Amino acid sequence: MADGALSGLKVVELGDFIAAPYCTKLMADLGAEVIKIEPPAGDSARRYGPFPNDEPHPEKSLLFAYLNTSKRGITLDVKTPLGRKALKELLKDTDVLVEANPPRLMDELGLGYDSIRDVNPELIVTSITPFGQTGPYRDYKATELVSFHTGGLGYGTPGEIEEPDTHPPLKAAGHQGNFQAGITAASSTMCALFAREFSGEGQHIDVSIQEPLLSAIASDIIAHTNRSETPTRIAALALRVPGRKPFIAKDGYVTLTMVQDHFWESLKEVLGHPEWTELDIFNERESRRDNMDALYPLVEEWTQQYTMEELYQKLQVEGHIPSSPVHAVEDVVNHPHFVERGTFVDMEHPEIGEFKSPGPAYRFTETPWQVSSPAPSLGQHNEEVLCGKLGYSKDDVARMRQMGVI
Amino acid sequence: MSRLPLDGIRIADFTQVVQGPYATMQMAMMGAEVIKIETASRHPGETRTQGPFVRNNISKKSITLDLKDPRGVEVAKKLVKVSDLVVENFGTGVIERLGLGYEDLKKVKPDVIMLCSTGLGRRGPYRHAIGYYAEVANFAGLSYLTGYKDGRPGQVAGIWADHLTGMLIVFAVLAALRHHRRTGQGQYIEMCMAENVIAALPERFLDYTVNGRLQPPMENRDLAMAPHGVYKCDGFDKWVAIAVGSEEEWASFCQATGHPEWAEDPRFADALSRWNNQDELDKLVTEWTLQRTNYEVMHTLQAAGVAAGPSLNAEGLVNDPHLIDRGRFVPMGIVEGNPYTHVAQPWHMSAAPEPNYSRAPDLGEHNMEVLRDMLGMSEEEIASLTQEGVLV
Repeated sequence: MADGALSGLKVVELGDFIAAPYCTKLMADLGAEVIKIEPPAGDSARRYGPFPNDEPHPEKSLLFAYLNTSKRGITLDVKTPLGRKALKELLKDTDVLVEANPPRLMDELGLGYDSIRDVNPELIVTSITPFGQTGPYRDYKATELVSFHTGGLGYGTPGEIEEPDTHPPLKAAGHQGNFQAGITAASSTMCALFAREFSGEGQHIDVSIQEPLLSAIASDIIAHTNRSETPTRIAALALRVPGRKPFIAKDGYVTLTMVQDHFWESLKEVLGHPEWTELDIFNERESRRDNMDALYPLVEEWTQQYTMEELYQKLQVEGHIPSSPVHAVEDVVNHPHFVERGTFVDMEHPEIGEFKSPGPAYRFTETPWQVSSPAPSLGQHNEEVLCGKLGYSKDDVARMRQMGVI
Repeated sequence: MSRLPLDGIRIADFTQVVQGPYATMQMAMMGAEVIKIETASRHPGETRTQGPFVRNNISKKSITLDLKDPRGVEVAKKLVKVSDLVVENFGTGVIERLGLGYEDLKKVKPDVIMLCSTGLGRRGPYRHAIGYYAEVANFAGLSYLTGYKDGRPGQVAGIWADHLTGMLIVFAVLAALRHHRRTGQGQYIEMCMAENVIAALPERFLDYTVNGRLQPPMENRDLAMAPHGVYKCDGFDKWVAIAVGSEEEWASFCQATGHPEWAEDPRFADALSRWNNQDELDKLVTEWTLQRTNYEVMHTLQAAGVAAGPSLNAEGLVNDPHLIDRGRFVPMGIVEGNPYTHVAQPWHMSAAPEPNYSRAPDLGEHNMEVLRDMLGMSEEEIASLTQEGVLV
């Protein structure tokens, strides 16, 4: 097996569900040695679907299988003194701890950063929590829904609306905020590793799931702080922005950009210069923007005559106009572009069998992304890690199991 | 304490618009020396207003080079030679046409680390497609799943796909740099925004690849939790998100809202009943939230151990006591005649100084500093390049 970019990096994960596991998955698939610690009841992703044939089973969660590739897994109840002792033993020979527990709980358990630093001053501790380690909401709870909305991205999703009372702000599909928090934790941890090269010291990184979301809406924040513009999602009150509302195609939807002059000229060409394109109200960038309501249906009369693929050819290939089909999941999985790129990779899992899974977003020429092992079953590596790494005997491990610690 | 984590790392930054500049800015804030290569005439969209340029390019240096001129390309190569990382996000084929592709750069610096990032990647039949975050989110399936059930597909607010990818670029190049430190080996990294969006939405894709199921948009609902929604509150277009996950939380929720009778109601007695009757449940919850501000709802429910929080717009964010307490909004003086507030780096480190928050550079502001002091070019040479229009 080729060396990974992160070969030799020792990581322990004491997280749950998505954010921390995604962070350590990014590291593990690039070669880091990740030991995942689960409570004896297992990571909550094991109980979250989808499951093959909708049959819930702790070893068959596809989400868990996706998020925990290339890791070893042990169970340890860190709420017991024995569990904490084993954790601290493990951390003595670890570079990075990624954890996602309530700050108050970590303090109560004697696992706050100051206590952990005493065990290993070189350790980098990356904490991922809903609202961060400090501030008035530090102990507040959040799920993806709450994070996405308190992070400022829900209010403007899915775009301008006509009937605000019956259409609440929306969460994006899936767990965008949690995934981005995982990526942010991985990036900031890399920064701390470089800092350690000089200082020889670890440190504590505080990642709030709420905060990476703010950056994506920075344009609105700056418009407000600097120009006192108050953003609204209500169409009638909104500042006119270039429409992102998709057009109906024969077999779905497409979007296209037509406000900028060169794209407008190109669109006229693609449309074959129908008379209405010469109307004064569509002459200027500003007037097209102001008369979007009139322009939309005229363009849509044309788009609905063609399929998404035909429109791609006409708009992108011939017209060089930013445009895209609005793909459903099946369109994505079966799209020739993604098929040729190998976007979805074959995975093998002892309980699930073979399945197709999203692969990585990047290709490294010298240190390729690779799944070195499927996600661990619950406690799969208990003996290997507790005996092999920490020096417990097999009898100790059997007793710890009886005590409910592992 | 005085040293930032990426002090001493130099980045030749050929990126523009959002995703690339956001990535290199994260590293600049962490102390890296980021040199942005610009051409005055190159990106008409990237004006130096308080829009995308300023908020994605603070703490960088700017040099201007005409990359269509071979002398400009030579200067760029000199810069690459003394840099640790090269990042670019031109359209497919552009950087190779300029003579600055990976193979060209390897000739001047055999161990170069280079990352390219585009919407649909550098390989595959649609590699020449042009588009921004919206096109990427559409192409990758996110938009289709993000809308009202009774409406057209929507669009995630903000410039989501760019930020999701910008952050991953930081991880990828620093991982490659670590490998270089250990082995001396450079490499090329191809980043694809659409694949990053797909990788962050595995639940939906796996349900299709394994079960053949196409889930509809779920709006604010969850596969298991109920109540789980965004509810209208007192005030103009004010909303609160509430997520009740467990039986304990449900019991607390009924107490905290002053409706212990909901817990007894057979329609809501267990998680499955609540999920199946959530339309009715949502109506009752809305009756309660409408009488309160979104902040009252959050504090009341959080005190009872239930996840809740307001759906904030920009005005709400900048006035939120928690975000203010955590120093999320960094005043950075006057830019283009208005006070500029930067959105802080989205992490805090206990043993690093405050991130580098320095204003975005003027176009070509560091031409002399970089060409003369860093690349060792003579002032005469620089003057003649300036005169001949190479440094524009």
